[in-house]
Formats: sequence, C-alpha cells, structure tokens
Amino acid sequence: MTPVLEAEHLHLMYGARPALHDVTLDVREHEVLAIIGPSGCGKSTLLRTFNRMNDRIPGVRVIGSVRFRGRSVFDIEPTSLRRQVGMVFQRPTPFPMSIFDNVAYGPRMHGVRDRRRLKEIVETSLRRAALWDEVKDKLSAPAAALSGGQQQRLCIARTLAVEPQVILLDEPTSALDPGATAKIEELIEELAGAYTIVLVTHNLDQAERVSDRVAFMLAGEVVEVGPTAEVFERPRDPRTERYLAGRPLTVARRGVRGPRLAPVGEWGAR
Amino acid sequence: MPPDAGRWTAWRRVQERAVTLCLLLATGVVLVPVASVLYVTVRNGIAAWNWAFFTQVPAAVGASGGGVGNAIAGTALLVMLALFVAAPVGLMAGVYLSEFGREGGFPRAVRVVNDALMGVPTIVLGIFVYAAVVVPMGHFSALAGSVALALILIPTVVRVTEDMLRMVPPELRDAGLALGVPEWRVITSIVLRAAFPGILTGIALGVARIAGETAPLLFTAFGNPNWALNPLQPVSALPLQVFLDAVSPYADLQQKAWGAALLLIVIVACGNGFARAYTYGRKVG
Amino acid sequence: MTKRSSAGSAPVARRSSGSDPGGAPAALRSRGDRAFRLATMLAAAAVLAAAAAIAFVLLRASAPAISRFGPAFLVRADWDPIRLSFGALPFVWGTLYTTAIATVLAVAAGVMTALYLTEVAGGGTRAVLGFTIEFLAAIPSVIFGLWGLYVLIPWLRDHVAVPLSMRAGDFPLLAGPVYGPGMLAAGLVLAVMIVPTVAAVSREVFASVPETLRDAAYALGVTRWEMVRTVLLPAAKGGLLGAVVLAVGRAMGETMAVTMVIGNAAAVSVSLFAPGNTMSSVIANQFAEATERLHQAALMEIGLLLFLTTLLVNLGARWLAARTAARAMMVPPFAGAPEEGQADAA
Repeated sequence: MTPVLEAEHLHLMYGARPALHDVTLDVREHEVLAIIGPSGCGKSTLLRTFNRMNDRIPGVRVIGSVRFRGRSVFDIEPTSLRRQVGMVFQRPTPFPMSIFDNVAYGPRMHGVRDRRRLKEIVETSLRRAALWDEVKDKLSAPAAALSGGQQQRLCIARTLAVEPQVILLDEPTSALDPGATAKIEELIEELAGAYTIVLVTHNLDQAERVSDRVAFMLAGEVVEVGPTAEVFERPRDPRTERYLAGRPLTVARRGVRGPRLAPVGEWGAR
Repeated sequence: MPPDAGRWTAWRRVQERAVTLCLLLATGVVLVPVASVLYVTVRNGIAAWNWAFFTQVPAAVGASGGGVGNAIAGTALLVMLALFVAAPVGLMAGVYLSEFGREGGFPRAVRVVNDALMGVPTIVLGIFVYAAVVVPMGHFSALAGSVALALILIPTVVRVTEDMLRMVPPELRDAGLALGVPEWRVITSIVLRAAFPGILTGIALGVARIAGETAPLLFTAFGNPNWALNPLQPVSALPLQVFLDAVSPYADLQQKAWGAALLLIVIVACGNGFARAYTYGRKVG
Repeated sequence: MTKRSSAGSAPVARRSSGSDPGGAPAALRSRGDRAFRLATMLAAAAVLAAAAAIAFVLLRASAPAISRFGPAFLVRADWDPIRLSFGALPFVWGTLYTTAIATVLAVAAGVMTALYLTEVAGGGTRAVLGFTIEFLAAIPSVIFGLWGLYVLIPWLRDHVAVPLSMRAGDFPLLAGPVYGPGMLAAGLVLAVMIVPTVAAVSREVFASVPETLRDAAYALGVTRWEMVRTVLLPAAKGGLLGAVVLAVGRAMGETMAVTMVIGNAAAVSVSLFAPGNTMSSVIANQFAEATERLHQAALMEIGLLLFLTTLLVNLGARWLAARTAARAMMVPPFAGAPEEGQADAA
C-alpha cells in the first residue's frame, strides 16, 4: 500500500543553513506517527514540508522528494494540498471572529454558502473536536474568549471542518496546561481511527501514550523510526537510547523554561 | 567622604527640588495655551451657535444672521470624497509593505517617500493640486479639494496599515493558509480583520485631521457662499469659513468664525475620542 | 559544524522534485494571489508616483520664475508684484526666523514636559497630561490662527511688545513700531503648535531608555536630576535630536496660523515686532491674487523649495530616528493593537 505521505532523501536549507539532511520517512494510512527530538532538530521543518508551509519562508531550498499519495507535493496546488493535509500549530490561533465563524471559515472559503450545511459542518467538527458541549450555547461569542485548551480544540475543529485526510500537529500542547493537554491527547486517540495524524512533540510521554510509530530526529536527520513500544523499549541506535535515557532531565529542563512545570508524577511514568 | 558632605547633600536636595519645579513649570506653560484655546473657543463659539448657524448659508456681506450650513455640508463632502480615494489606496499599499514587501529596494523606497510625504506642508499639496487638477479643469471644485486632502490622508493610512498588520502574529497567517485558503483571502479575511481596530483608529485620527485642514483647500475647493454638493463645483468647508470670517472686519462674521472653530474642535475631539474608546474597548473586551 | 559540511557533500538526490518552493513560488501561486499582489504593488507605486508628480508639476509650474531669476531667486530681497520683480529672501528669512523662535521655545518646553511626564508624574497625571497634549496636536491650524489673532496678539501687544519697545526700542531686536501681528506672534503660535510633537517624540525617546539604566544610576545613590543629566539625557541624545529636526520640519511647513498672525509683509527685519511672511504664508496670502504668470510661477517656486526642504528635513529626522530609536516616533503613537486572542496563554 502506498504511504499517505513520504519524504525521500529530503534535504532542506534555509539559505545556507541546512535544516533537514537526507530525510526518508513515510506516514501510513490511519496511523499516529510521532516525531520526537530535541529543539531545533528539524521536526517542525519536516512537518511543514508535508503541506508546503515552508513556501512562506524566503530562501528555502528543497532537494529530494515529498509525496502525498504518490504525487509530489510540489506538483499540487498548495491550497488543494493544504485542504487535504491540515495543520494545527503550537500556539492556539483563533481568528478574530466568533467561534462559529472560526469553524465555518474554511468551508466558506471553499465555497460552502448554504447556512444549514454550514451549521451541520460546524456542529460535526466541534463534536469531533470534543468541544461542542462546552461551546454550543455561545457559538457567536468571540473565539478569543475561550481558554487556551478550548482554543486549541477549536483550531482542531476548524481544521476538521475542511475535511482533511491528514492532520499535522505541531507541538499542539506545548502552550497548554496538563489538564488541557490530557484532553487534546484523548482527542488525538479518538481521531486516530478516521485520520492520519503526524504529531511533532518534545513531550516523550505524550509520544509514547498516543502514537503508533515514532521517529526520532537529531540535527536534521531521522535517526530511527519504528513502532512506538519498540523504539522506547529497545532503541537500536545509541543516540536514540541516550536521548530517551535523558528523559527525566529533558522534562525537568523543559519545565523550567516552558509555560508550565511538568507534573512530578510524569518523571517516573515509565 | 569630604568634610563638607552635609552641605553637599543639602545642595543636591535643593538642586533636585529646583529642577522638579522647573519641569512642573514647563508642563504648566505648555498647558496654558491648550486651556486658553479651548476656553476662548468654547466661550465665543457657543454664543454663535443657534439653529440658523447650522442650517443656513452665510448672510450677505455686512448683514447679520445666516450660518455655515453649506460649510458643514462641504466639509462632509470633501472628507468623504478624500476617504473614498485614500482608504483603498492606503490600505492596499500598506498591505503590500507588510505582506509582500518586507525587504528590498522598492518597498524601502516606498516607505521612505511615504514617511517624507507625511511631512510635506499642506499648502504645497494645495498648489500642486491647483496646477494638476484645477488648471486643467478650468475651475475650482470639491473634487480638487478632496484630491489635496487625500494626498494628506494616504501616507497616514499606508503607515498605520503597515504598522498594524505587522503586529498581527504570523501564526494567524499560517493557520489560514494551512486550511488551504489562498493567501489573498487569508490577508483580506483574517489578517486585515485582526488589524482592523488599529487601522480604523488611525483612519479616524487622519479624518479628524483633514477635516480641519485649510491650506490645501484655499486654491482647490476655494469656498462657495451657497449650497453646493456637486463635486465638480467649488464648495465651502468649515476651516475655510473660519479663515475667511476671522480675517473679515465684521464682528458678526468673526463670531461665526468662533462658532465654526468650536464645531471643528468638536469634530476633532469626536475623532480622537472615538479612536480612544474604540481601541480601549477592544483591548479590554 | 558538522551539519553544514555534510550537507555540502550530500549525495545527489535520486529524485529531485524539480520545483523549488523558495525560488519559484510565483509559478504555482494562484491567479487570485497574483492579481491581489499586483494590485497592492500598484497602490504602493502610486505613493512614489504622487511624490514624483508633485515635484514634476511644481517644477514645471515654476519654470518661468526659475528661468527668469535663476539661483539668485533665493538671495534677492526684492518682492514686487507690480514691477514683477521677485526674490524669495524675505520669506526664507521669515521662515528661518519664526522657525528658530518656535524651535527654541518648543524644544525647551517640550523636552521638559516629557521629562516631567516620564520621570516625575504618576500614572494618573501622566495619562491625563499625555491625552491633553495629544489633543493639542490635533487642534486644526486655523484655530490657532484665530486664537493668535484675537487672544495672543492683543495680549502680546499690551503686556509684552509695547512695554519692551518703550523701554528698549533702540535694541535692534525690539526696534520699530509695534503693529501686533509679526515675527514674535508667529513664532509663539508656531511654538505652541509644535510643542506636542516635541513632547510626544521626547517622551517616546525617554521611555525607550531601558529602566535598568535608571536603576543602575539610582543604585549608586544619585538624585533624580543627576540621573537625568548623566544617564538619561546622554542615552536619549540622538532621539532628541530627531525630535528637534522633526519639529523644525513641522514649523517650516505650518501655514494657516502663521498666515493669520505674521502681518503679510515682504521685508527683511531683525525686529521681533516686524511684520513679515514665511515661505508658506506668502503662498497662502498671495496665490489667489497672483494673476500675473510670473508672480504665480514665483510662488510655485517657493512651494517647490518648501517641498524639497521639508523632504530633506524629514528624511534627516527619519535617518536620526532609524539610528536611535524606532520609526514609531515619526507619527503620534496610536493606542491601537490588534487582538491576539491569547486569552489564557500564560
């Protein structure tokens, strides 16, 4: 079976600075693939190559191939590619409009005018994003009034509303508190059946909890890919092993820098 | 410590007090003219305000009575025409500078020239429009006046638009694009929308400013003692009326000047008040 | 770093995509995007075109005067619409004179006000005064003219000009009859009008000096004034110079208020009480009655000179601003900020 997304011998440079080096990676139908690695290892860059968001950055050069269902993404109109390969970002990005209009934004832009149809889409998307019960009475309230976790689920709902096949999640919980993070993780597990999901995270426990396969990146290269349990329990590459072994340290360091302290319990979770 | 440390400290304390007093005095000196202008204008202006003042055209020279109704209408016409031209051009140019032309020679040139245009004396814009519009048309007109006002407004709108768009977080653009929406629609429906309060504030202040401009209208809109709302005819305007009445020898006309001046201050205050209230409300809500 | 070198010697990609998203995005950009981009670019070009048109039209309209008087136009003191002999010196002088009065007064008062606002005043006072001064900046020029004509000039004549000229009329600066309208009145009205600019820009400049610098000075036990003198003013020097240049630019171009209070005379006099004209006020005063082609061309040439001078002054202010603080100081600060919707992002 052809993979949904595949990168093959992909090199990417920001001007003279290499960001990805000879990356080969595939994403399979209906799986949750987690990409882990230290900050600056290129995991977000790789994610952004899948839906050509890197086009926006001046001076980006790409060598190698990236394919979506066997077709080079560079031969697909970016707007049509991005409709099929949706993306959710690190910080919640509610548009400056109501909750309803946020979710309806994509379908409207893609030509859905019928009010009833829009209502249907909004409700379905919000339900799938597990937000419906919380917002059904205030759909016309500004999205900015929601909490950070709700905003992030709203952004997921907004992505779902354009009916993508793949959802790229770029550290979707790094700006959220543990409670909101848990909800998003639950949601990822629920969506896994219907969508193909690529999750970039530097929360290793999150990767272990929600992903089917995990790819470990270091300095722009994919060091190791494999089924999550395998990689976490028996890493083949010594670099992966070192990175995973340093986990408590990583979590602690992130806790100091990041918006919230990681709960102590997570330290010994493994 | 030197032996006279105590005296030194005392001297420093005196010095500190004296300087603070000077600063306070300077601030007071700056405030005196504001207070005086506002007080005199309100006192003299209110006396001129009555029903006829707002609804009638000026009385014949030397006669009393009449009003500045035509000037109010003329100002409204001029400002609206100017806004009609300046808003689209300024918004588009601002979008270009913020979204497409962050770097490079052309955008930099536009930025420099635009900032420089903000400082061009408005009388210069007036005689430019006289030579470029009034002379070819053969007569003064509201249209010419509004072109001159638009030339004042455009640089402000360009600048405000660019500044406000730059404050919109880039993630918002990414989020729009990631939904598969074309860039231009992302800009018009999300980015501009997010920056809208700030842009509107800037435009409100700009409109308040051009409503009070006299110099660019002297040789373009020219003035008109009668009702005139045809863009191709000369029109009166409040600031023009203030000028013409102020330098006239008739007490009645001078009073009309104060009345029109008060009205202008009210317009400016509304523009500023609206701008403040709008942004303040937005920030809190 | 090893990454850089290994990328350089990377094995040739087996399959290259062929399109380069960084280098050739235009090719795949949708038609709507291209049209929109082009439209915005045209609008930006219109700004340049407007500036070019102003320069060109003014140059063409002033051609008769330029060819008749040449560069001597600037230094000829003779302005006679009847004999059609035109020299701009009286107005250049008037502009320099009034601008100098206004700049000296406005910079002194404006910088001190800004210091009071940033270093002394509390939050509430600061907000109220800041708002008041901003409002002063928004009052139309013609209203200052009206106020100057009916409030400032009578006061000035009775309480300043007449007593001074009676006691020290031999002193050239105070010589000559007192009419009321004149250089001093124009300079004062200008000062009042540009004070908000100086105060607002200086305030931005002072506010942009890092708080840590102040703290460091105070930690050494210096008084507020000593901190201002030894730390704040040196740090703000460049920005304040920008404020001065900007104020000069404003003062030079200001028209209506000056026109109404300067007395409309074409003479070169050092007396504060002498009537005169600035470059902008002579245009406002005479353009409407300039029926002779040469008279109009001479006024157009003055306009052109004014255009070029203010352009240079503003570019200078911009350059100073770019060297020191932000571009933000060129326009009054707007309170507006876009919503970010970060309701609970910590």
